[in-house]
Amino acid sequence: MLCLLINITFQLNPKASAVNGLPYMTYAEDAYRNMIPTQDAYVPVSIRRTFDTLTLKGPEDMMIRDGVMYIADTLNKRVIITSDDETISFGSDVLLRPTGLYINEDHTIYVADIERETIMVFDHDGIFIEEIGRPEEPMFGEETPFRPYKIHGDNAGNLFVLSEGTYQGLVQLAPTGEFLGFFGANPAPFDLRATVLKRIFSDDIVANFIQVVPQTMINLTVDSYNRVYTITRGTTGNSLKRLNISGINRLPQDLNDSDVSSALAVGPIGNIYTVSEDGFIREYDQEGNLLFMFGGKDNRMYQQGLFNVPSAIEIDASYIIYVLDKAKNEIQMFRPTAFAQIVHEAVDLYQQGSYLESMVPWEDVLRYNAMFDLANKGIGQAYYKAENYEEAALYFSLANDREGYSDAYWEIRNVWLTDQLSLILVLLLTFYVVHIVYVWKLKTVVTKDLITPIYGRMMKTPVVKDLVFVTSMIKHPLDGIYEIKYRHRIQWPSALILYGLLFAEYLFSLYFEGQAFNGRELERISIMNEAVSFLGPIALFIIANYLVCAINEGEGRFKDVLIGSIYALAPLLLFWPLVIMLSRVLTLNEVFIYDALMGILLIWSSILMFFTIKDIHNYGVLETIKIFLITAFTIVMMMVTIILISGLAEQLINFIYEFLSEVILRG
Amino acid sequence: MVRAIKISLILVILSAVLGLAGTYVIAYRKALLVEREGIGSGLIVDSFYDQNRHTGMEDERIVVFDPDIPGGYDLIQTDGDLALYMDDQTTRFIVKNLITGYLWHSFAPDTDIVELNSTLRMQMTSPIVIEYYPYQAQTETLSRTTKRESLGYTQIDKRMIPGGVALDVTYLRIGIQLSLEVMLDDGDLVVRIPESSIVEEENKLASISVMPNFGSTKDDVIPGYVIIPDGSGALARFKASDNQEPVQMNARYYGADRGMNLESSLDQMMQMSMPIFGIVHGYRQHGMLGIIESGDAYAQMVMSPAGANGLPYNTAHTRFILRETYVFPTNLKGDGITVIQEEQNHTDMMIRYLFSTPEASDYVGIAHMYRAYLTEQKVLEVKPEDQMRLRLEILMADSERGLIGIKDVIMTSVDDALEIIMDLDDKNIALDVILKGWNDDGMSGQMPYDLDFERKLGPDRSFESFFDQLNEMGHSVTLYMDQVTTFGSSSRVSARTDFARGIYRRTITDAMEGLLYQERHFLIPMTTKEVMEEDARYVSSLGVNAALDQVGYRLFGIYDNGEFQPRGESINRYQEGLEAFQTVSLYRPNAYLWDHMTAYYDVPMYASQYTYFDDTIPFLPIVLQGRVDLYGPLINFFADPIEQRLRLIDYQLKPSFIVTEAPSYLLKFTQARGYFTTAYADWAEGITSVYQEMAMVHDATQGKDLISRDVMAYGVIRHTYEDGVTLWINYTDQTYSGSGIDVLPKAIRIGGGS
Repeated sequence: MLCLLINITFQLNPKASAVNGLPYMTYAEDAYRNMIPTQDAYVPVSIRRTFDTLTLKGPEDMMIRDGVMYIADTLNKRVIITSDDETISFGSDVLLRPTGLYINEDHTIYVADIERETIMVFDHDGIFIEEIGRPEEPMFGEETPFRPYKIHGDNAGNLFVLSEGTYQGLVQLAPTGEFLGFFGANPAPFDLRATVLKRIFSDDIVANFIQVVPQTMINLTVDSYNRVYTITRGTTGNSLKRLNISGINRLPQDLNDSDVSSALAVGPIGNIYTVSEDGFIREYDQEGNLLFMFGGKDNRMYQQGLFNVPSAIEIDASYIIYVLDKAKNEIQMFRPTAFAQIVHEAVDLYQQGSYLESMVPWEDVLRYNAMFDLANKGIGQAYYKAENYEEAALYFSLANDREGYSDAYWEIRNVWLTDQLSLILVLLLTFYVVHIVYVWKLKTVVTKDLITPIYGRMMKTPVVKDLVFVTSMIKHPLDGIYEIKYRHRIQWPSALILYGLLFAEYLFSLYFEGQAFNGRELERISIMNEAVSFLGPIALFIIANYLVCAINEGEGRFKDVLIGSIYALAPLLLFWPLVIMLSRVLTLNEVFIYDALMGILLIWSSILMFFTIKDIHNYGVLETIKIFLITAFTIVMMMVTIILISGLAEQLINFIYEFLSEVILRG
Repeated sequence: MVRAIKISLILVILSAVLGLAGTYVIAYRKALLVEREGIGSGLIVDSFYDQNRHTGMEDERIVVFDPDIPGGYDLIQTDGDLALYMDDQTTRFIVKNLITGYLWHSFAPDTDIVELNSTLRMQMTSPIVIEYYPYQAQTETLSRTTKRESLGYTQIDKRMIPGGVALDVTYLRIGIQLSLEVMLDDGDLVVRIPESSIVEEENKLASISVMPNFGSTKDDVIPGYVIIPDGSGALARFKASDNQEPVQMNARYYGADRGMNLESSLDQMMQMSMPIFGIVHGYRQHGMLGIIESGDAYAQMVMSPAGANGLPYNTAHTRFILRETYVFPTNLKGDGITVIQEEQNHTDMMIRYLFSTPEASDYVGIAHMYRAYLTEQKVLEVKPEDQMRLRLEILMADSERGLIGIKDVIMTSVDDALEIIMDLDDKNIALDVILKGWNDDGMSGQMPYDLDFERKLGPDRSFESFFDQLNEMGHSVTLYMDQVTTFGSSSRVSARTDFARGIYRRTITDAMEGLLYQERHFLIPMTTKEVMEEDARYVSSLGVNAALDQVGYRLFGIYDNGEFQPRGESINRYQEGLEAFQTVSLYRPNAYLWDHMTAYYDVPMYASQYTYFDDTIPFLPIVLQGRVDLYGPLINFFADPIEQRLRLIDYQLKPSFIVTEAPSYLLKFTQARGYFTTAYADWAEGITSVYQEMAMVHDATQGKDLISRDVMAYGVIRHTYEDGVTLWINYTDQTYSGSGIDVLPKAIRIGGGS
């Protein structure tokens, strides 16, 4: 019902947020980083527009230190300090465009003035102390601009300045103001043209006409462990970075983030909050899991809880969120709901490694939202710690935590193996004895009276004969190909059955592969999509190969390619199910076994495929290699054509539609 | 002698009971799932409870007024307690309350002192303001930018009509004519513009604002507020123009019209479900309620606080929309050109103004006045007995995408449902059981639902015996249905004949994020009516009730048979459809369906959070109290359970839950994934504790009318009922002490009178 201004809309159940009287819905992410609706986490409580008698104009930054709020009232060229007791403002005589501010532990105020191109330092009463200008050290570079936009500092008193147009990174200054170096630059994007040209010309020459500059950061903060956080516009997945001391990003690169983030802050338990220009507030835990996302753009509706152009965000010790809006010239405050409080409690305990203690709050979280994967993971960890591996495996599997599941399963398997070792030995021994007896006494009888007649009868059915022929591709591949080509051993319907079988094996792998190896959400699987994505490439190959060979003096008919291809995949057809079954008892520790087996099957099939194509068309080895390359090229061209034609068709349909609309409207 | 003993005995017992009740304090500390820690920060104002999510304190200043009618006014009519005066020269009206002597003006005060240009001065004093699309001679088209006109350049002919006066207004420059009738009827003021009186030439009417300045005030000279029927109800208090963000509110009654708007994002968080607005001048001194009796489907509420549009006036009025612009899409993406609606919305425009007695001049009194009006109109009936019940929605099944086709997700079988109900019955909880997803493929499957129970839930026989058992136990059984939208897979509707198209000639369709369904289509109201009639026969044959979603709060016009049918017509179809049901519950119904409902589900507990609202009030619950069963939203999704349960009690709503036997995560890939916490195992305890506490409050207050609802301190509310029973609700984290009693934090207290 509310303003669903984002592309993820869950419209069937609007009540869930109207229930709490909020103009937005709240989302979290699941283990696959897909958005899921969740219980509302924050409620807007208040809006402040006036501070004593002062009002704001285009404020760009805000910081809370020890219960006192500092606001960079940018267009009024001043800084406002406000607390319960008093409100003062200062700086209008010296500041030109204060866009960022930072208050250190001694309450010294550093103001980044982008227009003055300096950092102005004031004491806690707003008395001007000094000015830090452009670093003069040669290391800073002669051409490098210094236009301080945002500023933050660490516990040791070092300052990090985000300077507009300074691509080398954050400008790191010592407490005394001396330049220490650049920090945490974004990597320059890969530019093929520049890379190629740099091989030919010198770097300087290339730099003259191709500018490869890293994306610029838009905001920064530093937490109490001196970790520097930055946000970058125009990129998703890694727009939010937490840099360690050597400037390396320790957050995952696939975050659920926004490409228009504006500001960020670190909360009481190290949770990271960002606000983006489209009005969404996101809260992440320390590992970058998105806990909550809410808010939205206020399209002139004047609704509490929505934003116009948010420019800064702060969190106080009781998790109250403050968001500065530079277009609405106000500060909105949100308080956490009961749900958010338990999530915070659980996350806090979990992040400290107190898995067992975190279990109770996590269970509460699940009671509030049964789809909260992080809670399942947390409970899984708790059970694992309590050595209750069965439960742990269950919860890890609910949370789709493959590593956790694998660890828990390893323990379960270990116990099972230890318990059942004697039984296993006895069974093996029995089996061996039975085998010996069978070979010694029964084999001939069974074969003669039982197997041979049935086998013989079955082999009279051509289809069965064709299907069984797959085994001969394993034993005598070259003979097999010969038989297919020259004796026309195989009917094409049998080949189709085998393709069907291969697809069935593929589906089998999706559904029954061991949980430690299978990352797919079964509910999202649709048979049509799978058929297109699995059989589509095979079909493309067959068609492309036939077409290419037809004009390259290949002897094979279409039927031969069709039949040959699937028989070439015989190793996969025969042994894949076994690997899948095996994967069910393997853990991630034995992943090499799984990988090796699958690798062998694929290489084996590829070799067979090579020789099948070679022999079917009667090519030499080099010629076959050439044909494979041309086939690959043809496949690419076919796909381009398909995309082109569908695009054109859409244009045509749209044109006809527009034409008819016009006729209806005017006629 | 015997009689005296009897009386004294009764008195003793009564005082004992009241004394017990008085000392009965319910502390919520142990309740529900978790405790919210007290949070306080110096940077926020002391409490959260003075914000517009709550009700604020009253300004009890006395309004000073002059009861004399100024010169130039003629008495037109007296009726009941009212006298209607008019000044022919200026076309201004005054309504005098003969009991209190208070004057209600049709014009803004002090327009001759305040600096205004002549156009604005005219607007602030005129009894009507029209907007029209001007005809452009060069292009021979209508301009899409409207122009505004008050009573300048007009010829006005005055006629006397029964009860009042009719003004035949001719706009000389633009060739538009209409009649404005102002009269007293049955002790109320009625203002009417008959559709038949409207004559247009080349310029076309866009809208008519009726009595735009009636009851307007300047800055904060007069204490008081405007009552806005948004969500549960909201107040906008009169404030000085320099003290707020001045924005004018233009909100459509019954929400946005999807038949006019291709975009679904225009849907509001809450909607105005009652065609009314109220103005109070002075707390418990003078009050007025405007009821739109005709033309409500096309009416807008316009509320302009002092400071908006550069004017120092607080005004609230009704604007009737006769023609709108819409976007006619010319490509598949939806871009298009703006076009003016050709045919106007056909309707008479009529507003009835009711005036309250001094003691009823607050939102509680005005809500009671509206309730009395609706009762008199036979829309509402007094319920003989108000029984405590808990709404228990049981989600039985839904569907998700399977490897091939649709896969059913079974959440609660018939046997499971019976077990849940037995369990609650053992705890003496009276239930209104709503079965959701009882049909083929569950809740989202095949809407409108095929009239066939999902086989995997249990055989038809078991459903029948289930209904019998519930009836025996005294719980009511209700089947959930929705006849307004479809996912397009039902055999009961066809895309060609039954999908509604908007004025923009496309089907009215919502895009949905979902694996199974990506689109939801609206049905034409005629189809909805027919499906409702079939459904009514079905539920009546089963001997159960029906609960209808969407029909109550969706209202849209359709393009059918080459012409646009504006949404006023749809109201009739829905009313006809509802008549087929014997008993029917509705989700958030708009007022035009109220005479057909027996229970109201999901009563809103908040308003839309517009920054120009100052308070949230339980206006809607007070209007319907004692007339229909009022059930609040699903408690499962309360983000602040303790506080919101207090609000349920404050708003006199009955509790609602949704449960399933299976764990809720199974719903993740269904359309019902918003129901992320439903497992009965998780909620059994909560249901019992909520019911017991609310039943206790219910016992103390049932059958008694709420007399007043006072804010004693921010976040501390006192209800006073007919016979002096009081109910205190303390939302705050501190114990409240006052009027000789203590109310614990986050708790309620029932008293025998303060």
